Amino acid sequence: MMEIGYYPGCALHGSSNDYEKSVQACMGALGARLKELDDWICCGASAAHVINKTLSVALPARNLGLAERDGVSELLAPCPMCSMELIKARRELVDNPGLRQKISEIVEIGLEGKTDVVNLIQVFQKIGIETIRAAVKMPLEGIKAACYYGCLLTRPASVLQFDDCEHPRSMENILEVLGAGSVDWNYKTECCGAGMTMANEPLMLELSNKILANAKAHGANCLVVACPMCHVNLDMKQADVERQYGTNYDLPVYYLSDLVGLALGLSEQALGIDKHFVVKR
Amino acid sequence: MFGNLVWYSQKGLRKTVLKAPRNFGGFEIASGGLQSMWMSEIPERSKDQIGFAMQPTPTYVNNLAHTKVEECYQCGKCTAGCPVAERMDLTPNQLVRLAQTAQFERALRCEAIWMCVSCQTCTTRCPKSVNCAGVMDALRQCAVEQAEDAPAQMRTVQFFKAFLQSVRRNGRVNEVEMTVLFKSAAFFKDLNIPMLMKDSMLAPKLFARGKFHVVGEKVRDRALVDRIFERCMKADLYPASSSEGHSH
Repeated sequence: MMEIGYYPGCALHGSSNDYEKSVQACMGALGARLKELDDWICCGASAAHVINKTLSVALPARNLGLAERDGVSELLAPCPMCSMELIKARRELVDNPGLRQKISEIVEIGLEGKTDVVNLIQVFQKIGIETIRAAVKMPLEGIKAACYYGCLLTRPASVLQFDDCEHPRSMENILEVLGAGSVDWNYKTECCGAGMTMANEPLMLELSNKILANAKAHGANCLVVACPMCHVNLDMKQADVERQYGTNYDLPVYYLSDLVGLALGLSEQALGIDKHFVVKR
Repeated sequence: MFGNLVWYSQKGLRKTVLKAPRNFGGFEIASGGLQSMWMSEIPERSKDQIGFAMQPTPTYVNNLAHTKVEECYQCGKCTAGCPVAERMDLTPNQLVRLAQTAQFERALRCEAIWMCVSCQTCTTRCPKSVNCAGVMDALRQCAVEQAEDAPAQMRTVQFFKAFLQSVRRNGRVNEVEMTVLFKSAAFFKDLNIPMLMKDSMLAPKLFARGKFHVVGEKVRDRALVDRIFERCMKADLYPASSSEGHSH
């Protein structure tokens, strides 16, 4: 059985608990065990890097230290905001030994920067696309998904070095073995404005509207994401977008793990899909 | 060496905006189109400008962003790809220019740095590897204390502060607490009742889905989290002088 370190992040233990449910159920079905980091703290997410650079390195560094202490060599952070902050902090610690020493004193734990941080798509790739193909019980017919990567799965590209930052295909490749179709569209790496949902809602509605409109125009019947904040914006706020722009999209938004889980024969309840706002008719 | 090249601040230069059609033969152009303003002069702001807490230098910005702003040659690719450039009073390439030429008074009091959604598109596409999103962060850090009183960006700043306040108290974000902290801080500043009540109807919908946690999670070692915050507020790990000279 494959075991992998697990950093849920605040969103998955908060209002995006359906994402955690989905990830856990999926990993269980694929024989991978998630070992949650003990007493992990918030990575600082969208706020720390705006207010205090040192804090934006120290908060994720504490978690990297916890992972090293517990002998975790690979850490799954299903939220791309978390994984990006963890990877960025690790890069700073590795690049700058002087800084690493000072941050280590600040966060009161030894730091070498040797833990690999991975996103959800990478974990599916590690389990193996062919393994997933062999485990599919209910091929997903009738799905024409717009795979939405958003910002932080692939950017900043020099730090993350994951997939093609302008034209990623990794989610489409997974959907293919599930028997689901995907559409070509223009907004797969455009920002949905998630960091500004509370602070500047008109901006976020405008950005999310462009994404939903483009997906619909290209014939998608659902969106697939691997980010809790993208999900909040595109699912929970979809009704607000429709009201603001006088449109009707009616596009369910699935986490990537939802579709993998459905193909593996798991129920919508087991995956938390029943907790989404936009439901398939 | 840049003194003679500050072409955009020349008075009388006509504002030229390149505006691309939003739709080419059925293919909608992703992102903010080409409505960038690299041919235009930088607009002056009104009188009620905010000050700034810290006088940065180009070197300080470089150290914070691990970049070399002096590398920028104003191609405007950052602005062309920026999803919010259309709404900005200063575009990303103009902000990099201001950082290059140490014109921080204008850079720190603009609204644009608070519109940035940190999507990292500018940084990713820069042909000279200038970490433009990092420059935005560096400018915000220097401007944050004064920006919270300027109406246009007050809510944005209050949101970031409420977020970190909740992290400092619990070790993790408690969404309900953060929302209350944010809404009350913003209301205290602008007395805007509709904005205070906005989204309150979401609570029962979240509750029905098991997504509304009044009592959020707390880490065991909250004293440690507080110490980390305390030290980070005092630490000066990114000095204002002496360049590190490496880029991302």
